[in-house]
Amino acid sequence: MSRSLRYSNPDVCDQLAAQYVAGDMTARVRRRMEQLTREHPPLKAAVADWSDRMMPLHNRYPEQAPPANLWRQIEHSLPADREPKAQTAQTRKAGVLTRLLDLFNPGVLWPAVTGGALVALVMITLNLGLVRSPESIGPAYMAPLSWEGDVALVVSGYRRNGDQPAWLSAQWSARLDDRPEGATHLWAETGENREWVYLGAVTPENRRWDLDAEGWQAVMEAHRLLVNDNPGTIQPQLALMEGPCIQLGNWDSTDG
Amino acid sequence: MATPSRTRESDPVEAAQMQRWLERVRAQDTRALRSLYDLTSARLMSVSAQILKDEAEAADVLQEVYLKVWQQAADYSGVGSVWGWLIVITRNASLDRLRSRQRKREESLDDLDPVDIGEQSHHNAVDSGIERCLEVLNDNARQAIVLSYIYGFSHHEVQQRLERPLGTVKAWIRRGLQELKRCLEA
Repeated sequence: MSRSLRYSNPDVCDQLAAQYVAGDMTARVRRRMEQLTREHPPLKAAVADWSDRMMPLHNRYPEQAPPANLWRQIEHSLPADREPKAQTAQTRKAGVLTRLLDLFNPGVLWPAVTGGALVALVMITLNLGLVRSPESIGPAYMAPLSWEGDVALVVSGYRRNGDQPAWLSAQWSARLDDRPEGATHLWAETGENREWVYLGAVTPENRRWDLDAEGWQAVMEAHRLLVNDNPGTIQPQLALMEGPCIQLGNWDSTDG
Repeated sequence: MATPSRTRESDPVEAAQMQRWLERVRAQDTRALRSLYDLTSARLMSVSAQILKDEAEAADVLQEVYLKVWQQAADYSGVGSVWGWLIVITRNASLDRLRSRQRKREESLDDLDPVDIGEQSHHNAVDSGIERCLEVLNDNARQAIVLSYIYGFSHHEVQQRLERPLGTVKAWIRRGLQELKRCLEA
């Protein structure tokens, strides 16, 4: 059965959706399933059906108030360039961060681009300002990290802006079928002495986090970034992912 | 005292409001995300905490969830409820966190409240169709489904806890879910 026919078959969709919503899929298989639901509406509908079917079971447990400061943390982690825009029924208003994500979306971009060419393309595109809008603040720093020959993770560094401290974002390539398993931690090889500075944890989901002055300094002077499985020690030869640093714009060395 | 939870699946006014908020989140309206957060965070916190058994980690996961909602609001196509969509995101994010910690389940089956595993909760003021259908299942299937869906146990972990072959556990879950579906559609 061809792939497109398979995911139009109601029984196949139903079984896959049941496993995805209520069963046991590995993270890798779940990512694949999420990609399939974007490409195959019958599968997406089956997932929605199963989710709505199982959802009332959660009512047997009491709700639990989250920590009082959680909303502030969430708001703080949203992209800095967000602005409420006029409502439209169908159009999607993407921020700079989302447009950067689109660079790695196979539905948007060039399937034949290799890792190195992709880096060059990102540099050219950003420098031409094709992605960045005049009013938004884009990354000052970018590092594409490769895993098993493909660009897997893009780390972007944003300089301090008013009250907003400098911050990093770590975004996974949507083209990957799977990701390194286990704990993943980001390090920078930085400065004249090429010291290693720990920058933070990388999660299976895209995330952003603030940097203190030391962290931002390490980013500004970084030669390369690396991901390993340990927040305490670094062995570069055992790195899971690594990639060069790209400075996207001039900044004052005292920033951050 | 635990707050009784209300059944949400039959509140069309709330459902329509949530869809409107999500549309505004797509347009990068933070206030809409806040409204969604105020309505949903307590339930999603509970979903995550049932899997992670750690409030701090559940809160961390919740932060990831709402960031994902912000970034991927366009992925919700209007098929199914917003609640269902949010719970799937939360459950999967919690499972990712659980697996990444490679945490071994320390609680034994005995430590879980029987009401959590098999019997109908007394928190509900309104009888739920799926609760009725869950009661109709045999004990093994019901336990396996609750352990998997609510607590995020892998099939392997369910097999260890129930001390049955892995193939048997998978069959219980697969058939049990299909029986639930048939019961709900009847």
